[in-house]
Amino acid sequence: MSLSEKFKVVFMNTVVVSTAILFMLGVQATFAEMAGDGSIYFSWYHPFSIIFSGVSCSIPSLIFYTSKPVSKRNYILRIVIHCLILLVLVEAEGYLFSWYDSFSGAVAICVIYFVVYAFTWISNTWLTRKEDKKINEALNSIRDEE
Amino acid sequence: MQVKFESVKTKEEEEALIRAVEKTEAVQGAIELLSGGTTSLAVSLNGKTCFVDKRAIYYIESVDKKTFVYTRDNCYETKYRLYELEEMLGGYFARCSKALIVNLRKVKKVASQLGGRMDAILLNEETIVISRAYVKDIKRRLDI
Repeated sequence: MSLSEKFKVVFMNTVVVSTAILFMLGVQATFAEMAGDGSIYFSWYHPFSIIFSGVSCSIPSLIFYTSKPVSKRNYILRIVIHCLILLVLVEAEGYLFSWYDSFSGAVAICVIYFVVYAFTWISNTWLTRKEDKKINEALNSIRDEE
Repeated sequence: MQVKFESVKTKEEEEALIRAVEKTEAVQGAIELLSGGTTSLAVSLNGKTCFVDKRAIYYIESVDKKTFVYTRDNCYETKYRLYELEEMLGGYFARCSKALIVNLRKVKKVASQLGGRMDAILLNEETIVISRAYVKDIKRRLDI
């Protein structure tokens, strides 16, 4: 995998992860507002911290890109390692950027993290399948009859 | 389709214009024929030189600086390099990895695999790997 391809992968994942974090924060703020809790506000550095988190959480995804095919077991192991590394990163960045100020806040971040992780995998799988479908439809129109 | 022929005096004046609603297989064939595109490829099998119709080629692979041309049932060797063949064959022959050119007309379906790979299953049920880096070019050739 070339450097430009790695950069592209990290960039695409940054967009997905940052969007997912923004979405979750949006949901959290909406529920808080509906519940009459007007205490939720975002500091000036929160948008940057979301982008920073997006980039730092995207870099470990490079462990999935190998030149040689990997077995399903090996791939599942990579997912587990990836998930745990990201959880540590998110909790550390949460502490650094004051996303939480208590243990219950750290637990809430943990729950949000798993939702975002699942969302990212589902969206990636959906995009990949969509691309496969598009290519297969185009191939159907040019395929030789045998 | 109406076909008109107009006589000209010099070679420089020769040209062909095809006006069609869409670029069908027949139109593409006519374009390749008129532009002097390659329709067959010189190959060798058991030391004997022969020609393979480019429409019969499934894929072309480079192994240890040798180039092999695969059809449904045979494997031939050719003196051409992959980059030369890419230019010669054009059209639906697309590079799918550093060492492979595939005839997209012979691809039954593609399926993304774990680790960012994409497998292409050919009409003879053989599976070849498409590197992620070449997917964009393949999509361009398919007008996606």
